[in-house]
Amino acid sequence: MADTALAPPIKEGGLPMDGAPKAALGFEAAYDAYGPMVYRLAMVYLGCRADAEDVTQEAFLRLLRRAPAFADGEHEKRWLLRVAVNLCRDQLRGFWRRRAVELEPGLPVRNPESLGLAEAIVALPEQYKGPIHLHYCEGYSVAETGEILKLGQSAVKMRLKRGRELLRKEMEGQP
Amino acid sequence: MNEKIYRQAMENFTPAPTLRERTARAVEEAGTPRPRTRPLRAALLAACLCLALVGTAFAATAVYRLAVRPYEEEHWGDAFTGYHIYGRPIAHALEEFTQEFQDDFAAWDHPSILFNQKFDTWEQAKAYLGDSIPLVWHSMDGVIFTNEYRVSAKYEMYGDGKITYVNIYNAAKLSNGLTYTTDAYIYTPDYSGDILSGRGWPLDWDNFQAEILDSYPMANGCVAEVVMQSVDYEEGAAHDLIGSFMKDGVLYEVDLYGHIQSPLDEAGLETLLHQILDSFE
Repeated sequence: MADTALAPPIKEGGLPMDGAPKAALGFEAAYDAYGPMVYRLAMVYLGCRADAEDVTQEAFLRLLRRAPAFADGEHEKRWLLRVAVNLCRDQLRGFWRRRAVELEPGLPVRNPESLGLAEAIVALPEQYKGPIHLHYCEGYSVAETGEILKLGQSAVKMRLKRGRELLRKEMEGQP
Repeated sequence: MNEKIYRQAMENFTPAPTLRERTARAVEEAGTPRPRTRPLRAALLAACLCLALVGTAFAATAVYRLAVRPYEEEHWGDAFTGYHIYGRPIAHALEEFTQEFQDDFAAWDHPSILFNQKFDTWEQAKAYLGDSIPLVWHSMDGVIFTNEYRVSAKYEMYGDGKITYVNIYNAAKLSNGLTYTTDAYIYTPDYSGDILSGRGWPLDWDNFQAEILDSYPMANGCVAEVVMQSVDYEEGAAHDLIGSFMKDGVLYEVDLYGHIQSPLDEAGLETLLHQILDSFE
């Protein structure tokens, strides 16, 4: 006796794929809305302007080529963030990335007094960067961060906790 | 640390104005973006596809997908996390297997939870289960050793003793020294729920992590969901890459083990897993 029921629908990051879509943003509006956000995320993961620019460009190419129909702007934003995280992880897995990521030296900065923190964030182990950045910079809740990164809420909480501990130790100069 | 301090630090990461122009140029060179399908149209297309699929084996292969979802649970006062593999298999009743298999299971005196038989070759294992069970296997190049093919059946110990699934398992070693295992799961009508597989570990295992990687479209038309599990040791990290896919309602899992001295890094292991998956018919 065979059951030919279809597999359950795949959800994009836990977000429903139904609902009336709004008109997709053209490139200009999409970049103005999300370009700096994607670039910041890529800098946190990769620490290098050239690599962050490559990731940003590729993320928008994918947005224009492969994106699904978005329910709203927030849906589009989360989709872009997840694509950017995946692109950064692909870069980090390459052979030439085995050493720890450091912030590119000589970077022109806007807030020199916070440069030390920026360096410490870039130097975090990869698994803590996404939760720390999405929660503290983009303002996502633990649950929302988990949806974007495909992590459970407890895992997000634990990575936030450990990421904060590492940052505090680094800023206080402790080993 | 609070949001204000974090955001001040992030203000140091401002893209150059030239990035906007560069990205716009790349988008323009890439051509006109493809029109996005509206959900209603997608639903209509899916409905038409469903009607066309009935009784079509190839379409069943194309439609079946798995979903990988992380979870967190508490057991015996301890917190665990992990992931589950969801899917809708095609159930095969015991009567669809060979008479030999049915007779062997009937004669099994249940000394353990698993009913086990071993075969030297894949062809022998497949023949033991019968032609009514649609099974495929890999034909990976560079395999220098395989152990026996184990056919086992999981039955409910405290139920009425009915089989919930039949499993075929084999381990193989490649010429580069890496090993991988392959499991095929054939579910019976007595298997309940849509969680087919998964892994779990204590939440407080600091040196263990798992990552859901990109799905992989296989050469045979199936789509594999891939998870990488990593353990950090003092000497280095070890990785397990698990690729899961469903074909003709049977679940397959390939587990490629990258030990600490692995000749391949994570990207290389992922590529190798893709090659193994592509060798399935």
